[in-house]
Amino acid sequence: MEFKEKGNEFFRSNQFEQAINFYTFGLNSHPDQNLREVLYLNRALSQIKILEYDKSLSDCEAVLQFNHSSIKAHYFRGLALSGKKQYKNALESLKTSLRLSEKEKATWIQELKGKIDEVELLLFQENENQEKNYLEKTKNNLFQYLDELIRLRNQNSKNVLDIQDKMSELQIFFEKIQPKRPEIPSYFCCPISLDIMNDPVVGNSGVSYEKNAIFNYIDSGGNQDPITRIPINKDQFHPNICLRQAIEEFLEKNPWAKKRNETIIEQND
Amino acid sequence: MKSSQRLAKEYSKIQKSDNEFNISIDSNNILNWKAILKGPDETPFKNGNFEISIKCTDQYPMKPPKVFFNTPIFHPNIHFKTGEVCLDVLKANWSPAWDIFAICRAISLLLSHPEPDSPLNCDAGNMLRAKDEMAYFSMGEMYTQMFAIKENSDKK
Repeated sequence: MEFKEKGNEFFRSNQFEQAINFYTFGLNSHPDQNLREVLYLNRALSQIKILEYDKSLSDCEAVLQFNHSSIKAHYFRGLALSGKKQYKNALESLKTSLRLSEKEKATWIQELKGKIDEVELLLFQENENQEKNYLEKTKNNLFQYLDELIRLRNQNSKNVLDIQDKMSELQIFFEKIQPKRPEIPSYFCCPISLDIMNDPVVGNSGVSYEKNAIFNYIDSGGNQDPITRIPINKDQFHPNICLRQAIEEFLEKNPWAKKRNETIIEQND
Repeated sequence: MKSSQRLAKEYSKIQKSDNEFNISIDSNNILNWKAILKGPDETPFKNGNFEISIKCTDQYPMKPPKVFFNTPIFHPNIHFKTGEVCLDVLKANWSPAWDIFAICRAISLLLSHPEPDSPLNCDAGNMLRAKDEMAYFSMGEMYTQMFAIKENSDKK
């Protein structure tokens, strides 16, 4: 018990190596299973803080061996894997943690979702970069090869201009197949908040708004539809389910377009 | 929803456009904006550059911002001394779907379409109501020359 408290004290003052030492002392003193789980978990988070992801992972595994539904073990495992840039596996762990948290109606669900968004974005960027690098490499190789061919041919050829045309055509082709992020369609954005909508609602005017935005407007005395100026009240607004599904589908393919969740989870028992 | 978030969105959209009103933000306060309106052709304000300031509150866009002319202008709906602007969409007809760019466009339109029946500048209003275009133009052009053109050449 004492070791844990000491470790937590060091953790709170950001002295993670010291904290790890005390958690290890605690684990060596043969604690009961509950305390053992807490010590492992606290040590796992401390290891993440000092970027010792592999050590953190083995602590998480140790917990999962006797408590496979430990929300925190899955969560820290996700953090460590994300630290090791293994985003796909990290997502799996984080989503397991989310599923378990939802079952227990835990308070940190929003933060957990924010972390998942963050890792999804990292995974997306990694894929995007891989694709770009692959194209860049292929392009360079191809042009190098063509240059070589042209040099050999030029010595006895009159078609230099023709070749230049073909080369610039190829350049344009490579520009065109570069992966590009699409614009966020304006019909996915609320005319009031200008942000992509989470919970679109539609009233008698047929225009869709973010629920919070239009309700705030009505609360602050607005009684006309912002676009059509027909009279409005809260009762006439209903969820626009089709639009929400379309937005969700777009966000799944374009995680970069999600609103950033600013809070980051950080806790210790 | 925070007004600063929405204003940041508007600003990034403006930066992607050609920014015809030269809209800028006060670097210390995202709620305070400035814009330069060009005097439209066929008005007494032709060739003039008029600076306006747009002050939002933290209730923006639920409530309209306050708009003032920093450059004095002789116009029936703009107060000559305070720069206050009388425009329905900045008061009762405000809608949160309006943005700073739309305000600039509306005021630019007001310059070429004055409303002499709700004047903040009675002299200018009376001239138009009396259909004395010549007086309105010569007064307007004089003040444009004094404030909206001179100011600019000084800076250069």
